[in-house]
Amino acid sequence: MSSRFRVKRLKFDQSLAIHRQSDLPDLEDQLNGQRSAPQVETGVDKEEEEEHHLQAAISASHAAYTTGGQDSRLYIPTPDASQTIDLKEFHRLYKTPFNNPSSFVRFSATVEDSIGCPYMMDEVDDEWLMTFNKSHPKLVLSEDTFESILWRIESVSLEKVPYLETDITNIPPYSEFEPEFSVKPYTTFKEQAKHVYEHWKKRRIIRKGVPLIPSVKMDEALRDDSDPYVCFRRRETKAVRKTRRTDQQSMEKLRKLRAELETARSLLEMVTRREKLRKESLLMEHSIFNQRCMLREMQQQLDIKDEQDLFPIKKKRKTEAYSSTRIKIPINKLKRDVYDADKKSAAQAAIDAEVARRRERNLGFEDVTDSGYQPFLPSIPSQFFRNVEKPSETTPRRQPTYRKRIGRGGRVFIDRRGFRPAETGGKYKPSLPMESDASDDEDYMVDDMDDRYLSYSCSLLQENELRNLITIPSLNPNTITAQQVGIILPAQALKTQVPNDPTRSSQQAIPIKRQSSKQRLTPQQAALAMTNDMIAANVAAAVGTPHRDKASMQLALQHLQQQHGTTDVGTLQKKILTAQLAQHQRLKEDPNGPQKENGNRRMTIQMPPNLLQTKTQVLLSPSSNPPTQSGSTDAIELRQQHLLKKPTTLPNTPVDSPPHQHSQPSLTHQV
Amino acid sequence: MPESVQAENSEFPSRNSSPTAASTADTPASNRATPVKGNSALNAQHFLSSPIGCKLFVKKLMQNQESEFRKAEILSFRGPTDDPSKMEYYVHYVEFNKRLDEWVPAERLDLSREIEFPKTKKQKLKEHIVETPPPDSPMRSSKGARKQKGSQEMSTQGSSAGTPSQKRRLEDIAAGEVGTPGDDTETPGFGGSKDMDDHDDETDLLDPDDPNQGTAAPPEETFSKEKEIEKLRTSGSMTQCVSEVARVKNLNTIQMGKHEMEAWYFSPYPLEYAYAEKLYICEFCLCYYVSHKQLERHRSKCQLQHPPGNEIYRYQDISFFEIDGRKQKTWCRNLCLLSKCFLDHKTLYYDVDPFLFYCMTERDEFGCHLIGYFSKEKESTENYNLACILTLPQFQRMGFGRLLIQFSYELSKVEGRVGSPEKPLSDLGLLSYRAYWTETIVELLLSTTDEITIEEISQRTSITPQDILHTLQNIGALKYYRGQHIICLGDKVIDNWEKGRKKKRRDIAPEKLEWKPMHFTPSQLRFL
Repeated sequence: MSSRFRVKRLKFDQSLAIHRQSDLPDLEDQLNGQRSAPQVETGVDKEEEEEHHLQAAISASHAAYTTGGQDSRLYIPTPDASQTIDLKEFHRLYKTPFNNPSSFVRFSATVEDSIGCPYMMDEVDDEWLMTFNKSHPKLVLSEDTFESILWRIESVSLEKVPYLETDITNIPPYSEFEPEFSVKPYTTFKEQAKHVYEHWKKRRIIRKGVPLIPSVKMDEALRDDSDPYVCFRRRETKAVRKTRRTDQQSMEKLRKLRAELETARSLLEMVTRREKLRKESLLMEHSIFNQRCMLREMQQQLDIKDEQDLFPIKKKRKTEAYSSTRIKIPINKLKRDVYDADKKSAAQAAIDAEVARRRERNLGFEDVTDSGYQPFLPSIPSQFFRNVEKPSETTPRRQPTYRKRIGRGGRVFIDRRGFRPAETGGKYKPSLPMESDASDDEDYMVDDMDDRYLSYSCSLLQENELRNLITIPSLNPNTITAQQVGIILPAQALKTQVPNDPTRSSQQAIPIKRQSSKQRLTPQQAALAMTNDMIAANVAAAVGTPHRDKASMQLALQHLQQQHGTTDVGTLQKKILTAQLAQHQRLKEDPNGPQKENGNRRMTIQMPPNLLQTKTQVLLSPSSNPPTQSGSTDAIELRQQHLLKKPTTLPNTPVDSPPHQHSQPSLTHQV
Repeated sequence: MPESVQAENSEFPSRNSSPTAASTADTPASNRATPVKGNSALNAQHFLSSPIGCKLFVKKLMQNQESEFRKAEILSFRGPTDDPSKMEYYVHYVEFNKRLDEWVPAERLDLSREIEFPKTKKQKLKEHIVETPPPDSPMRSSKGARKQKGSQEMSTQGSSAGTPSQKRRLEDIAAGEVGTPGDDTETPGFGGSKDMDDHDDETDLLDPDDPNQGTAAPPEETFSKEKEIEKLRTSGSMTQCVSEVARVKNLNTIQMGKHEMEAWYFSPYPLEYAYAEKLYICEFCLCYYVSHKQLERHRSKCQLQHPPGNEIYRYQDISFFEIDGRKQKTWCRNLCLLSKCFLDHKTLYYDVDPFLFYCMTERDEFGCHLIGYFSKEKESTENYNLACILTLPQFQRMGFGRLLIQFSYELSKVEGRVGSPEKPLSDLGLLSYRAYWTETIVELLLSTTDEITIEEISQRTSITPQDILHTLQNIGALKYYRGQHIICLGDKVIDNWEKGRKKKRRDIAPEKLEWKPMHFTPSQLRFL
């Protein structure tokens, strides 16, 4: 069937069913499958493929496969190879019997190793040797010796004159070879060697200088491709060279990697070995433990008391454990140590001396470095409390301590600790929860209005703070209205009281609030006035205008008196005086105060007014007057704030001033 | 004698390379040559004046049958020029393998019949202009022309099977010219032979009737020489430039062990040994001598009794030895020189380092006698599992070739690879391989009941898929049946296989192979 349809191409990975021709009677064309695959070449050279005998053989075998030709295989005639030499001759040549080893042959000797002397004498040599031996009966040479001598001469000449064939006149004289035959194996043949040399020379000259042993042409210099006799050329490695370095590098890398992997492997092996041992020992211990338990049981059952004998191991262990803290020094070592004692190095001596010195220095100290109980350090804020006086025998068992503290908004607080107001002093608030830090202090009675304390507590404040010290009526439910009014007021105060001459401010930057004692105001009015004053004072201070309003001050004072019902004016005045004195002192101490003040006051202006009302303050109304002047009319009031546990300070307190005062929140003041 | 031989030889290359070397055989293509007819005496005169390249009928002596006259080309001559009757001529019988080339005395030439004289340069040139772009050198031009003609010839022959020459061949076969009936399973020997160039492959895929094919080949041929040498440098041991190889064989008889055989081809033994009556070769170390005394002396000293390598296989009396060309230079060179005598396409251009030699020996009480060998590249870039393969002529037609091939595939199986012999194959090599492939594949197919892919066959036999395809096509087993490809084993194929199996004498026993593929580092493969 011819190609009416196209036969699919055969692929190598295509499954093919296997049939026998006899199974498929309806198979059509012998050749129909052949078209589907490309005709594969025979692989024989094109010219030779057409050769008569090959074609004959191919068609014959083809016939055998298809039609079943009789003689399926044909021989391609080849030159004769059927002749054999005489068997005797063969056995003369090949006579060494072969001992076939039972194991596979391993062999690495080369041909050169196996054939002895490379020179084989030929007929010419044989003839010469026979005549020589005849004529020199005393110098008879064996064939082997002859060959070795000749080979010696030949190889030396190849070394000395490798290109003898180019100029035969260069043939070296015997004298050049003589030294060769004064060495060991040839010494006895010195005489003969001369004759052999003559023979060699003759032969070499006949051969026009060409070496006696013909060799295949491998001459590198003869790069003649057309000379069929040149063979076994060395391969140039030009093309390979490029990759060689990279090969080498990667080889090196791989080698290194291998070594590393090897190390890792051996490490792991050791680890597994160790773990195995560990496991074994664990198992062992376990079994020992079991045995012990059993033993103990048995002991109990049998009522054996003497454990010592039965637990030798345990005992040993104990001693071991004991000894582990000590260093055992073998006797021989000990001896050596003694022996070496005087040889101690200077460095060692120095170290020893230093150790001794330290030990001495630390004498009388208790080393608590390693003790179990380490007391907590006092909290950092509480570390700022200071005593007024240095501790001494005369002072009460515990002195009150103070610290200054900057509160929110920059207000300055003086915290105190260790006060118990005198019973007589009026109010006593025993156990309001202490603010944060001084909680553990036991309160005791102290007259905190004692001059000593007051002056100290005042000394903690800087001048500007003192100046700002102002007492305001505490905000209690009664004063709510006033407070409410106060909210509105600041704006008015700003409007009304600010317009002052700014030029004076630089010198007299001390706002002073005075209150006329003659004025009588209702508490509400007083509070209002106080607030107004305060704000005005602040604002004025900020603007730099001195604002002297004694009246407000006095108002506040009176109000305070009324509120608290304290009439001890004398004490109060005394206190104020002290405060003023202290302030004066402070002023002297800190000449920079005024300057600082200016800068600080400016900050108040930025304060939102509502803050001033909503927050409660202890305001020390600043007295700008010098102490002499302040006299009786000016008063500084420390007001206690009832409503708020935590007093806040005005924001114009310098932030950088350290808070080293007492907490005061729970204290009641008697004015 | 040596003197004359040398003189002859020095003359030879120039003659050989002369354009007259072109062979235009007795094919239709040869009609273009100038047959000189008529005055035969004049022709004879003309011939005697310059015999090289002439084609005339020469009496070919046959071993088992009557001699016949065949057309032959004169490649060389020797003898006294003044006495034509004593002249000897080296003739190449047209359409016969080169191994049958021989020296013939003048009386075997038939000067009375037509003589084809080689074309003169002028004629040659004319043809070139017509057919091919003129190649650059005169020497190449001759080569190119020759090659081209060859393909031309081939195409004409290939397309029409009924050309007279083809017919005559068939007649010859019928006349029983070839082979002796009976001992048949084995083909004599192989020569591997180097692959055709790439362009050869291409041309083969072309339509043989394509008239351009002929013209396409020659230009490529001109640079194929460099290409070939480069290829030889990196791999392979086969040359495809036959003209590179000296065309006159330089050895007559070789005595090796107890055997005497005629050399088939040229081999670059030392020039002094060329044209010697007999070359004596030691059977074990393969050293060569022209002097019998030297052979005797050598034999008294030689200690080798087997190839100088490791035995990797032993079963019955057959052993295989693996020999590294790098380690056993002398031995391997000797082996190559010897095998070149029987392998036309083998080249000894480069050294033996990149090859491993697997030598098959037969053991007796004197040692392990070399029967044959194959060489194998340590690293084949083209997946060859074999470079050269040779059964020594004295052991041919005894089944050893099949053993060698089988062994090469066993090695490939151990390597887990498929492989193919390096190309080109010789005629004997092709027949041997075909026989092995057919036998192996048919055996596998007969033992398989399921469907099978060519890939699978390849994996199980280590034969390349191409070779399997080749074989299946060759035995006509590929059929297209009811829209599907099938493998159909013809009755005759099976018959043949069974016949062959009954005859089989030796086999490789794979379990006796103790071998691991050698691995070489890049530096070891640098071939310095």
